[in-house]
Amino acid sequence: MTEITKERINWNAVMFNIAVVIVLILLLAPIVIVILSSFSGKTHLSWPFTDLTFRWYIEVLKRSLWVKAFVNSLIIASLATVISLAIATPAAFALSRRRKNKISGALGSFISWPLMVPPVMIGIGLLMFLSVIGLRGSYFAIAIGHTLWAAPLVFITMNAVFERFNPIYISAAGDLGANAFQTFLKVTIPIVRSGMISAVFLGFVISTQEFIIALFLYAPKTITLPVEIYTAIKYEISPGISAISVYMIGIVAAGLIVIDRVIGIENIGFGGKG
Amino acid sequence: MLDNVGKRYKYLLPVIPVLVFFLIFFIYPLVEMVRISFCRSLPYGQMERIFTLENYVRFLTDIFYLKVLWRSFLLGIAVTCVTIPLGFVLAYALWTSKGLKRKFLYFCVLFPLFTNLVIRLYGWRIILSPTGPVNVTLQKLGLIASPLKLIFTFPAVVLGLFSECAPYYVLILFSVLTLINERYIDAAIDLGASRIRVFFEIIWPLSLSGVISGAVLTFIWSFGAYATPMILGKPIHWTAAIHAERQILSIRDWPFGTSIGIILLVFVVLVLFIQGRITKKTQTQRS
Repeated sequence: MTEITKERINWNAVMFNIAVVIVLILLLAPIVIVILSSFSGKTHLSWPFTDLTFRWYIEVLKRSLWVKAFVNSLIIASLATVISLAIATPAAFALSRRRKNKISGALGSFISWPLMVPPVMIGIGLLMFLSVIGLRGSYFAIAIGHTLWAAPLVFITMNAVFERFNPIYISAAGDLGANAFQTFLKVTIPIVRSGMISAVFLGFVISTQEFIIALFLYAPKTITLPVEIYTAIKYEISPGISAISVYMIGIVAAGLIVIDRVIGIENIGFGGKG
Repeated sequence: MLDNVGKRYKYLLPVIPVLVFFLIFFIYPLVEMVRISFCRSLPYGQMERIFTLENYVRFLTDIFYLKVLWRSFLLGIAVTCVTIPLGFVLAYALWTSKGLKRKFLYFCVLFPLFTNLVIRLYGWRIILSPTGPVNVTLQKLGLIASPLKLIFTFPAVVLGLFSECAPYYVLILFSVLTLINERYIDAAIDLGASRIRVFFEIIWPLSLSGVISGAVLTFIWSFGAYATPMILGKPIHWTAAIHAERQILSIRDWPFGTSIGIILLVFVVLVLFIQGRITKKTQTQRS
């Protein structure tokens, strides 16, 4: 009797593991195929990729268009990260300290609204508004758009961090004569460091990969890499595009490994025990 | 009295920067869009600033646009139905794993999440193309004579959106799963409950809030999707969001384009409202 139950559990486990593998394949296959295709020696991508070569990695660097878009993406992501952290961290701090009431609950959910609005809408709205005030096409314009997407995620991450944070340290600092600003700088920040690192990473990466808002707001001078890739793949798929994509993928992978070394990969996420 | 109120809400001062930023760059543009959607459109991107409902009437009486809206809705439902079980499998595996295996699974969720959406869509284009790995392998195995039409189909769009939304869904669900007290599960197993019963009577009800918020996010994102149907679909798969963009950037009919956007937004708000109602209900039922 027990043996039958045991066997059935194993059977379930096998099915479950197969399901996990299928889901992982669905998530990772597109990335793996892009990496593989970047080594293809033929200009037309057809399976299997043959005549393996590294030359696309060098060739793509010679095209200033791609390099410029790459640099633009990094500039805009830095701006968006700084703005997101600057506005979302204090809010997360304030809203996590008191017991939940109606006002703090409403404010908290208001901050996550931009995540619910289709990015096309944010793009259209900003295009209209920023054209009027003459910011359209600037680095700031795109960074503002990305902040609307990154700030809520930074807020959610930081809110979870602050909620786990024991307020007794703050009162202790106060008792010892520190003012609110000193307490924030010398007590709060060091304790929430790992959360902040993951928030910085989140904000930065979200900005480098967002492209719908950027599509509405870019000018030729400020085109970002995702927009450049997007316009290119509408017409062609080629190993050159794959190679520039692998540079992007490499940065993300390197970032994740560094994050893992510094704070542990499990600390990136949306709260919970982490 | 006023001083008292000031003291009570003083702790909210740090919220002001983000509120101001959102009011200027998020709420104000949306309000402006609502205003424009009630204007009359004239040729060559001009518009007459009067109050008219004609853009909304045009959308809601044109069978073409109603079909677009309906198909966006179906797309959202399809992606959500795929994501709920498949995402649950991965979140559950993540929750029950330990050590290096958990690290590996976590990496597998975060890596696609942080990889450019455009790059992942580009990957799908290679995989599903007539000369891509799927078709070529099937042909070599002799299972099919000529390449299957995989790309530019509805399932391709669903697949693309699944891989876009699933990482977020998994992370949200995982954060709820970690809050479950594992003693409940041990107790149930000690009392002789089967794994399946434990799942349906303990884990599923306790994780329902995570499933709902993840599913709602998935639905909203797929319903309002722009990039995925554009790259992996044909014009027949275009969502309302794409039509809104076309009207504005190509046809330069701002009033009509914004009215499509506003209708989209009304739907999103409706879904969020229903979600709020459901969450409230489950909360009162439990307490």
